[in-house]
Amino acid sequence: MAGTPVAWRGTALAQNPTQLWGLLAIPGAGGRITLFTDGTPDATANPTAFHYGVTRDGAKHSIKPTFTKYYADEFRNPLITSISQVDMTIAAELLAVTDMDVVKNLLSGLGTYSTAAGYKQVTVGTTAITYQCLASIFPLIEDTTKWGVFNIYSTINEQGIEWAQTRKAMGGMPVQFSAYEVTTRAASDTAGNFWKQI
Amino acid sequence: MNANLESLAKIHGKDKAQAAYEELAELGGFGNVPSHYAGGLDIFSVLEPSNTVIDDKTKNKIAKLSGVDRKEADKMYKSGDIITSEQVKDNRV
Repeated sequence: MAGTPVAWRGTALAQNPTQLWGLLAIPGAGGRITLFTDGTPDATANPTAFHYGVTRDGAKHSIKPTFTKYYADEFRNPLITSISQVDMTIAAELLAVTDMDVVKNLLSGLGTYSTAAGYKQVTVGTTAITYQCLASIFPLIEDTTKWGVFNIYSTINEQGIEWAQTRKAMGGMPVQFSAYEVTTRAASDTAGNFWKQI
Repeated sequence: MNANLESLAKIHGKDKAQAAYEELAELGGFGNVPSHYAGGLDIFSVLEPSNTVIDDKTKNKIAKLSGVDRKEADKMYKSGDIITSEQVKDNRV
């Protein structure tokens, strides 16, 4: 008889700032977004990559399934279950409130950006809803020269924009990007990918 | 290493760019991503030598359609400038 080795996994911790990048090129089957070794999106593969800038408290990543449990009259606990829906999201509070490029990219289906001498603006009305590939990229605790990536392939910000403009506090815009299915991808890879460099 | 309507129009002409985009999306397993998708298709991610999901013949087709020289692409993978498949662990959703 013998014990089993413990595994505290003390370096697999989440405690580092992250960078939110949107308008990325979508990776193909078996691939991941192409990153330069400094952890930013490779500029050749991702010519439109857009950095959303500083955040109040980093980003919150989630993958939340909703289970439907099936019961039999003869037993009190469920016999089987199925996943009826999944919500994969990246949420954050962005601080670059007056950056019109940020605002434009948060208002898919609503915002139209324009600029001329003396102003930049986002007009609000009806436009086509456009989805984007978004990733939260952060240095790993186990090796800060390596990167963890939480990537949603097709998403829009569902929170719109809202901030408090006041002298007493720094305004921020809470955003939440939710995944939409890319239906014709491989069944195990339709929404996104959480990966890390080793 | 990125394919979008604009880059494909330069290779195939404006009239055939949409068809080329759709063929690339299918060959590379990108899914039904509309051609107005802001970021385009990450061709780097599928041509990588260690990506075994896509066979070599298909990679050649993808390279030809997207105007990529595979030898040049291989140099990039070997340069150590980008993070490649051998260096990752992942979970797909």
